Amino acid sequence: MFRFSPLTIKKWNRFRSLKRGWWSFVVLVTLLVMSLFAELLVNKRALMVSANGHWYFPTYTSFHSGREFGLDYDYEVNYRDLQTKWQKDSSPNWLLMPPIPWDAYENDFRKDLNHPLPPDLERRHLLGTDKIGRDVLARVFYGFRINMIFAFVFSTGVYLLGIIIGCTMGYAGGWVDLYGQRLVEIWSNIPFLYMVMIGVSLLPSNLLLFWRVLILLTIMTIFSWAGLAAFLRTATFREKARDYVASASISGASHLRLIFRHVLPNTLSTLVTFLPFTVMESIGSLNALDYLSFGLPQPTPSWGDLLHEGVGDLEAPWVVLSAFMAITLVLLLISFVGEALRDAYDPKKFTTYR
Amino acid sequence: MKPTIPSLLALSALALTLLPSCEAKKEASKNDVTAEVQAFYKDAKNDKGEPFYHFKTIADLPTDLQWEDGAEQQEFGSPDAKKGGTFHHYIPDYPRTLRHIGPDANEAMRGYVLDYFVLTLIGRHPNTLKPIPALAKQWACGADKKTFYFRIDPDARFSDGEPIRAENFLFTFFFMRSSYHKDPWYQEQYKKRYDAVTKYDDLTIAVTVAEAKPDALDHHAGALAPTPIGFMKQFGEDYVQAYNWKFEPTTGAYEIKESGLKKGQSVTLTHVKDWWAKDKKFYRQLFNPDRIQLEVIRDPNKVVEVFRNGEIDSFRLNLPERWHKTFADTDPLVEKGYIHKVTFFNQIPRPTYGFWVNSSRPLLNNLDVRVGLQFACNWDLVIQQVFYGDYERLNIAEEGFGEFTDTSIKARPFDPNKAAEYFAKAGFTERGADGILKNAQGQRLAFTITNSYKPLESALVVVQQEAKKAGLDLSIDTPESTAAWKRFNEKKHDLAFTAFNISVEPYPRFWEDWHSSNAYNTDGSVKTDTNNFTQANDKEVDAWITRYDKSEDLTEMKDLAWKIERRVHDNAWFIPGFASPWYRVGHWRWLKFPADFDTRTSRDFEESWAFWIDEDERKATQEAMKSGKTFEKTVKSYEQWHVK
Repeated sequence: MFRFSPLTIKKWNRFRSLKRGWWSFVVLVTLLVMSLFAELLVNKRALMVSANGHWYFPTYTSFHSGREFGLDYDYEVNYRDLQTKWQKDSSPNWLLMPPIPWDAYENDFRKDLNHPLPPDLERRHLLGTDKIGRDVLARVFYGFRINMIFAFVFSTGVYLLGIIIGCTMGYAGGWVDLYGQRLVEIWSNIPFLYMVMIGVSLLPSNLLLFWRVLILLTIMTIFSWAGLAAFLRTATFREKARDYVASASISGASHLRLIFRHVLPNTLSTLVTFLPFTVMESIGSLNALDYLSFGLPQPTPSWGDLLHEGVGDLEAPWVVLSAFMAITLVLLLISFVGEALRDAYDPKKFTTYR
Repeated sequence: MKPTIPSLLALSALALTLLPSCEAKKEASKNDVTAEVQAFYKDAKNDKGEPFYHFKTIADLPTDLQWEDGAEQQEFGSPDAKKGGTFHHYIPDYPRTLRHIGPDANEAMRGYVLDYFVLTLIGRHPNTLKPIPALAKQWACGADKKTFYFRIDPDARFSDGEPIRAENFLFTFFFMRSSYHKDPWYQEQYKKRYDAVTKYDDLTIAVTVAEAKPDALDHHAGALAPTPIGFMKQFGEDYVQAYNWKFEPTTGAYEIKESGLKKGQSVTLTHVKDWWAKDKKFYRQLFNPDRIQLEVIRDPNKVVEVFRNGEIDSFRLNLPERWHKTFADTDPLVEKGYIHKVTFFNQIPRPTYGFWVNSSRPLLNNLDVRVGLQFACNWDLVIQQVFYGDYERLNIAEEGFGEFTDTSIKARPFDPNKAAEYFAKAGFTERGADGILKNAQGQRLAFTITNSYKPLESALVVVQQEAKKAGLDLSIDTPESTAAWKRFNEKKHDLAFTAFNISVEPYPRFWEDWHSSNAYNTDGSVKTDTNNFTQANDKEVDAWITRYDKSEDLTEMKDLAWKIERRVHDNAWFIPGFASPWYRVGHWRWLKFPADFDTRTSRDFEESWAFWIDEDERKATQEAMKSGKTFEKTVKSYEQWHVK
């Protein structure tokens, strides 16, 4: 059976003992799990519908037209209106809406009122609406999920590149290291944001959304690995010079075995402590790009876009505040986690020279 | 010694003080252009290869000419206008030149240097669009309908005192067709549009245009401005630099003197002393302020504050949020009657905001799909919700051309059921799991909107969400605006969201937008770099356009225009979006306007210059604000030109 090494358990316990980091971690994971099921919490589709003896669970299934529920239109039924109608008619049919009955794209237009409108408990716009009547909370929440997915893919890419390049430099040494380092220095001095902006504006823009996002991710990744590679190079360099590596080498271990079995696992502290900062970089850059409208295409929910709108209309402070608070809060949580991880992995705790 | 930063600064400061004097020396040594002009008069040819300049005597003037002088037209200023005072306004950036032609000339300052003030041979009445006298006191049309004769007003003179004579107009062609000003567009247009110019005597000239068209007089022949020969004596290769900060003596009411330039800060225009037209009909009630002071204010938000402080006299409120939020009717300054708000309905060709449907694309080549699209676009909701209900639905692309616009054509309203009906005719009957229509081959009904206006993206998002109701999937793509235009020109879009800005013209042009020769080459391939963004291709429309363009008969042209407009509507090539039927302005109460506020074709009150400044009222208002005295709240709408 798989067992954690006592060392890992020790680090884990140490991490748990750092209260600020630990609770930030708990909150972040809770948010993450919630956001994976966002459709059940924040959605215009009902959770369950009981109509004329049939049960419907529309959240993840295909759409139901108004006609299926006896209304006179072919497009997707408006479950909120349906609920009000049934309640008014005291119909035996009923349905259950999610806590926030809006999705991130719907425009809640109302007669003689112009958006953005302030928070409204009755209509359940808990954070108000943006300038075309979309629910700000829904956009913030779905924006969080997109940010996290983006950060996940981005970090994977950065780690792949960073590990391969950093490890190669550190392990091979010699001229590979010498020239590699110069390359990293030059590469890391290219202004990353500008490069992404130039790259994105050169895209043939009739590309599919999927490809556009993938290309954006790729450009961001290839301009972000340098920092990690530099750290990993040092770590590999250090580990490689240790005696246990030398003895493994004498015992006939291949280079690959040496790297994957002996060197890499011992650079774990570098890899783990670097992760929160990579995620922060991802969130920061994506929202900066969205703010400058070089990021995700409209109408994708995005904090940067919301921030941009809010700054332009300070008479509607709920827009700018929501976006600002969301960014600040998430970045703060992640940096607390990062801090705690760093402390948990700090070898000083275990050294005999203390 | 190593140069230190202070020493470098001192050096560069020295260099800067020396520079202007070097320039002056260079200028003084310049040859004069007179010989070159004479040679040009002798040799210049028109586009057809015929001699351009003709010198005749007054005896050669045709005797059967019917001279007109526009005397039957009404004045459009106000007899109550007070002369004097300073009009305070702003410019978004300090001008980079005072030239009206050449690099950097086409900027915010151009209106003040050229368009607002300079008088040409004849003017055009802004209400009737009929010719009125300007530099020419009389004019006549020749038998060929291409040659126009003008009698120049003997009083006319430039602001530097040089009298305006036939020679000044001849010189204009030399000037414009020269390459020294580095503006190839003008160089080409002056060659293409005009066939000949004839001098009969100092005060009589004839101008022959290339094509006999109804607007040949006021748009081409009569739109000629004279050039001051004395001032242009040193016109040459270095014109762009040498004349960069020299104000060309003007025929208009305002000039910029050297003392009026505060580099980087402000520009002041002063009324020409004893302006030659100050007592002439049509002009005596216009151009009332003595001075026009233009402050440079770069930040749009600062302009709002400066206006609130009364440091500028007026502020445009064309954006709905400016009208409804920044200066709401409940704003204390408005409430207390210090600032007046005005909506003025005008009649001008509207910019054509809407979707230009590329009918050469698969699916979009199907008329039923295009008509379905028309019913699937909820522009009315956009107007209601995004634009505060202020704009109106555009009905056709040629709106605002008076009797040339068929006002019985109405844009198709949003109707998901009707849209579905037409989509069904085109084979899209089933809705997929996402609610989007599919045809038997499983093809989704999905198109891309290529948007060239970043600030209007949110309006498109509304259209996009509403279109889903009709089972239509629209995605929005907003590239950088030049990239968007490139795609339109290459005809690679599905739906192009853009607008053509149309200058005030008496009749619409159809050839550019709707003639199939701008859609396909003779070998059937797609023709790029034309304005036919819809790939309109209808042989009957082509024939009508050809006849329309050749026609000199206004009634026939009107009939043809209506036919073309109706057919364009039936073919559903263009999905009309929105138009604003007015301009809006907020102004302090000391800025006064004529009783009916402005003229029919004004896009802005600065186009007609009929307003005046009441300096006594300014003082009274400022004192009233201190003492807390209030005036009547004034939020007015002038609807005499509103086409409903």
